Amino acid sequence: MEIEVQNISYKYPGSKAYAIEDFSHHFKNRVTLLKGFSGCGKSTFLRLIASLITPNSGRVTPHTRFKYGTNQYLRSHIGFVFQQLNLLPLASLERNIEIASKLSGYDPSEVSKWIKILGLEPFSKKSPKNLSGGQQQRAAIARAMVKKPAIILLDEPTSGLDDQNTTIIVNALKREITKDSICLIATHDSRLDNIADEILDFNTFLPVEEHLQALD
Amino acid sequence: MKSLILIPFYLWKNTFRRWIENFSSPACKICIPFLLSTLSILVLVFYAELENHLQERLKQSAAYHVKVSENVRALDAPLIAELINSEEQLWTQDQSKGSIELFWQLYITAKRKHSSKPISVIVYNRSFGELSKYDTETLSPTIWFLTNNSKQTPSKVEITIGDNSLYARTSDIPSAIKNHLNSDTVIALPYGLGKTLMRNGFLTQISANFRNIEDTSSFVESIEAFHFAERRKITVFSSLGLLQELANIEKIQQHIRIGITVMSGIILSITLGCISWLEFRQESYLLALLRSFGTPRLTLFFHAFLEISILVGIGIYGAFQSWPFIFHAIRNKLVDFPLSELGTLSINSADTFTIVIAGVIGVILAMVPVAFGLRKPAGLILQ
Repeated sequence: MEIEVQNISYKYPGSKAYAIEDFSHHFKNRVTLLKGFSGCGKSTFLRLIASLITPNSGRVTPHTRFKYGTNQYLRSHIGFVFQQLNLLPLASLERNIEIASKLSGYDPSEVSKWIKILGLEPFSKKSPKNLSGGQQQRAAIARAMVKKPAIILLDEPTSGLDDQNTTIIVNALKREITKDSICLIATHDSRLDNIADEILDFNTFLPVEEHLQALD
Repeated sequence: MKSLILIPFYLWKNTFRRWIENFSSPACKICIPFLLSTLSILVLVFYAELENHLQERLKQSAAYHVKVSENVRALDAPLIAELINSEEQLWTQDQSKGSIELFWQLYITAKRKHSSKPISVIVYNRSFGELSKYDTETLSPTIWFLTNNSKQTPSKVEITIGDNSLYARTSDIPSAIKNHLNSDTVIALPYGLGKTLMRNGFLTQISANFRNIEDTSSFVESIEAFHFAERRKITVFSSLGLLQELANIEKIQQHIRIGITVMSGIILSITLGCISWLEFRQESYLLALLRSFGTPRLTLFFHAFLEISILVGIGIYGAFQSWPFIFHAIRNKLVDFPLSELGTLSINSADTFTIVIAGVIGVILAMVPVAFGLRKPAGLILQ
């Protein structure tokens, strides 16, 4: 599995500065960590890969069955864990995972499998508001992983988590991310370094002025 | 459950929860179309009711009655008297639009035996069905002694016209003749007998009654055009001018009626559009999240469309079901204005269609902010 990123630039509507400017990279390793200061464009980059926003210029070419930017691409190939998790508030934890699974047409047994892997069985019938931060984080990861996506995008998946929760997540990722998939993790957390095949420092892609501002 | 069921199921669950938590939102979406539709329906019904009353009063006040008089001088009288059959047939051949009766008043008078009081003499022909009967004794067209007091008068009366003494059958004066002559006694001669007396000049009287303004107007135009072409002068008495003014007012009222319905539609659209926009801002997070799972925009748009259509539909349906009760309540209050019974009232299909169309336009316009919102990339909403 590979993703070709060629000279992409993106600036948010109403903003004068580019969040990402002329970035190119060829992703071919299993797990890549994106590191850098806050605001250096890591989360924006993940959204661009997921096609939740589209680059102003340049091209993202994932080697996937469905074309970049289509609903099928999002449904079948992308597993995204947002920084704010974004669990469906009215659905139970199990139903949250099930919706994602069903949308991509996967076997319902995968749902129970991921609930087990991430140790969520005791809370599977609870709604997200009744779960702790760590439990919600694991539920969001289960929702992203359940459809066996080719591209797994994790935005700060372990921020604020204790070591126990982090270990559960790290072990699950180590075991389940196969050679057929690519995992991009935007993180500051060095506890994830040992699962990385590649670490990209996004600070080096910042324009000099913004780099200095970030250092300040 | 398949994803196509699961996503709508979740959306509806979310919708119902929103309705319960924020009850004013669905209540507004039902109440506004309900109130505006009810208002439009009642305006339309009262307008139709007013029109019916007006039509009825016009009929009762003989507004569709036309009187035509032509003074035929002795010089022209012999020729015109000969043409009476064809002229009568010309005006009375189509009786489907109303009743048209002609008679001719002579410039001579008759007297009853042993009385010096002059009595008007008229000539009748086939258009007077009630007079065109054969006398059973003489087996010839009947000479009539028409009076208001037929019950106190012998059935056969001896009269004199000039030097001739004749017997006439007694009967009531037909209303058409009474309206024209304003006399309590008239002698009516059949055309065959009265034709020779018409040579000294006569007054043609046409009495026509129609059911609507179009037929009245058409008759007046025809008869005026005919006599103008013949270079003959007639006098027409009708309420056509007044009727035409009423018709103009009716047209203006129709525009106002359409205006009220259109305004209702616009108010509905703006209000629903505003509510939808505010709600969409609340819902945009959820919709963006579902889009990030690959849910097609069309599914989300269709859900929003269905949601608002159901609420507006309930409002409009409620208005169509409840207006009779409101009308009934108003009818009981308005004792001075006699309104029709409910069973006789209905809304015509064109008006129903206009109200439904106004509702549909309201729903479509309410979808505009949703459509704009769905265009916004999910990545700009989700953090």
